[in-house]
Amino acid sequence: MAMLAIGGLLLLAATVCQIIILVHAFKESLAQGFLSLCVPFYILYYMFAKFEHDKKAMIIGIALGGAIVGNILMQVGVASMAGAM
Amino acid sequence: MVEEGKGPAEAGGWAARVLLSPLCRGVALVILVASFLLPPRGLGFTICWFNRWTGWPCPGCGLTRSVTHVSHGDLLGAVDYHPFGLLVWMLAVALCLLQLGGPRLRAAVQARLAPHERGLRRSYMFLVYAFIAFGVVRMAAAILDDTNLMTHAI
Repeated sequence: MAMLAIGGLLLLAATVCQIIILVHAFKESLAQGFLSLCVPFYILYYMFAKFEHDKKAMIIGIALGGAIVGNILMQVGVASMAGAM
Repeated sequence: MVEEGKGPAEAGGWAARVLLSPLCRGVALVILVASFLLPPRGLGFTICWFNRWTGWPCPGCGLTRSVTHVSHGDLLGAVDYHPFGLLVWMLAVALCLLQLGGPRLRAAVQARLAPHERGLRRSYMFLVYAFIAFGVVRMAAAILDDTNLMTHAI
């Protein structure tokens, strides 16, 4: 259960950071926003190459790290809960 | 008007940079052409890595099918897939017309928009936030739905 909670919180934080990056892309230009939204993995290019923010490293770290670790924790949490039932 | 030696998109101004740039017009052209060529019900697989990874819809999920539905004349189906699809389609058509209209038309439109840039900017950001808010609410609904299903299954 704790794993699910921590995983959920990490995913939430990652989503918030990805939204910050997406809003930045739309502010930069309509095209950048749509490319980040609709073209797979373009947002990865955008976040490293074009995204500018005082806390860029932290936002990218949470957006990527939080999504990966959060997802792993969620999967493990769901699997362990299903095993316990 | 347009500064000397520069095209309308490079001459400055928020609208020129954010809405009317060559990249925006190119993306709009690709969106519009693809919306007529793609099948309205989609290709049968998702290109959204977020959706594939989590099973939940991202803010942009359904937008391609929505725009495709508009191009095929099914407005209700379009709104059903994504309420912003119709708006995106209209924006794409406007940008394509600007692309086809040439530099003089673009300069004229830019000159018309220049006095209203502040309002335009606010409306644009309002729509961006509304778009993301819709996506977040839809995602939260999907997550809650999943949680309910899991609870019932247990």
